[in-house]
Amino acid sequence: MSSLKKLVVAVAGFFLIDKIGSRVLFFFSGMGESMILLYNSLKNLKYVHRDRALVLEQMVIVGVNSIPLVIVTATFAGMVSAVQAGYQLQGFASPQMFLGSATSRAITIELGPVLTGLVLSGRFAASIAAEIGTMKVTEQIDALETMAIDPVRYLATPRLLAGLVMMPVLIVFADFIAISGSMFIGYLSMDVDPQAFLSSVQRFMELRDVMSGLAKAVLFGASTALIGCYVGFATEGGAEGVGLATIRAFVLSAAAILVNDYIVATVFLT
Amino acid sequence: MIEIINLHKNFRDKKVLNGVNLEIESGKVTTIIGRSGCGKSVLLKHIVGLLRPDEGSVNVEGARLSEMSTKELYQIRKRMGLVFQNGALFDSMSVEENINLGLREHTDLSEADISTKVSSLLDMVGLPGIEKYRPSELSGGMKKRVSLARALAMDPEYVLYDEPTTGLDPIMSAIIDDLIIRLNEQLKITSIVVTHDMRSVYTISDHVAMLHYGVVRFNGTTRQLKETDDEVVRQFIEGNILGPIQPVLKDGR
Repeated sequence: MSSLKKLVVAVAGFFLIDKIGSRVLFFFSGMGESMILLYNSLKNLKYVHRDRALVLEQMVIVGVNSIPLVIVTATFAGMVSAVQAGYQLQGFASPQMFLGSATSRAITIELGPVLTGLVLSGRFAASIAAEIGTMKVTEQIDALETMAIDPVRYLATPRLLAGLVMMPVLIVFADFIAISGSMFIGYLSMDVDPQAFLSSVQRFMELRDVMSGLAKAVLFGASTALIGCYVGFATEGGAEGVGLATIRAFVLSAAAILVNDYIVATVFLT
Repeated sequence: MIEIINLHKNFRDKKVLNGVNLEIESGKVTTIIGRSGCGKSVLLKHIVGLLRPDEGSVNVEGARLSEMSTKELYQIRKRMGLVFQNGALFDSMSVEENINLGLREHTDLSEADISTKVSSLLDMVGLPGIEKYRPSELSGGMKKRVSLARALAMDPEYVLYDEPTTGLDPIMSAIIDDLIIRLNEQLKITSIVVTHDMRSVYTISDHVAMLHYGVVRFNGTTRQLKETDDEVVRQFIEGNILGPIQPVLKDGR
């Protein structure tokens, strides 16, 4: 290899290592900063009674306003799971016996939390990032600071708390809707008696199925709110910066849901 | 008194403040002038502790801001009000909520007292009856005046104005100038005004400081400003194209 080629390879290698290194540093500094934000948000939980109006406002935004979206998502998820389970059971077992347990376990462990979490993360994390990001670039965060109001206490803590409380509530609600949807399809297309469906649910469903779903819901709620707030506070630039922050919050929160899903599944189901 | 001692601030490789020394006398109106991008707003943000200096310090009544805990800094900020260049109003709140936020957070005033205070502040800035408006329904000048009302809500001892008359018509500029003078005379509020508006500078100032290339180029009274023979300062205050300050234009002229 000529010396020129060696030089080109060395320079390219240097730039590649530099690029990878800066990405890795960016990732870990982001993780560190978001953990500091989480710590500071939790530290402010002592003011929750005083800030109850802010928390309730966020709970309405995250929870009540998301109900239509959750109903649509959960209904179709439940119906699809019934169709899929019916197909899988063909020739193996009677849908009368097993459709309820197969669908309800799939829904409570996986489909309910993950699908609802993904749909809500898009809505919740992106809207938090857009709102806080806009406040950052228009100096509204500076205005809060100047008025001696801690932006983390005023903006992040209520959103984190709303995510922590409302995500489990919505996921339990989604589970209920999805199981109902599944029962409905079982009755319509497989002649599964609703009574038999419900007894199958009761017979095979375990407490840890529900607990793992709830654990996921708590983690999804916290990670979604935290990522939305962190990305919002880190927004720079004008409208373009806010747009990029919104996309970033959506992508990161969706990825966090899948990672957390794997972690909880490993802890509870292995 | 606010003392700014050898203040340095860089943003990446750009030196913005390069050793600023300035004393702001209590109960006086001090204006800070200088070309766009010379660091006036950055200096203002250091005075309220929104930015931390790379070197040097800002001392408020002898206490160094950069060495304060967040709690101590918030105590100082409660005695300050900042009028932002673009208002920085909270767009999710009404005008009334914008103004009363500080009162709700930091005082035990009753709803009736808060409401009366908001109305009197809006009267003071010439915008009576707009309590229920949203910031999106206000013009630029109205936003600026609501921002001023918000800054005054906590009865601050120091009020900092970031270009308070930019974008306002001449009559409204004169009203704001008059308000700054009245606040200073009646309530002995210390005012620090960042501005380009030379008419405003001559009307309101007790002291004028000019920032140039990150340092204080001129510091004196308006009379001294008018009589200065510093070519740089003269070119700026007279708005001459020719002189020692050579603006680089896009077409290379």
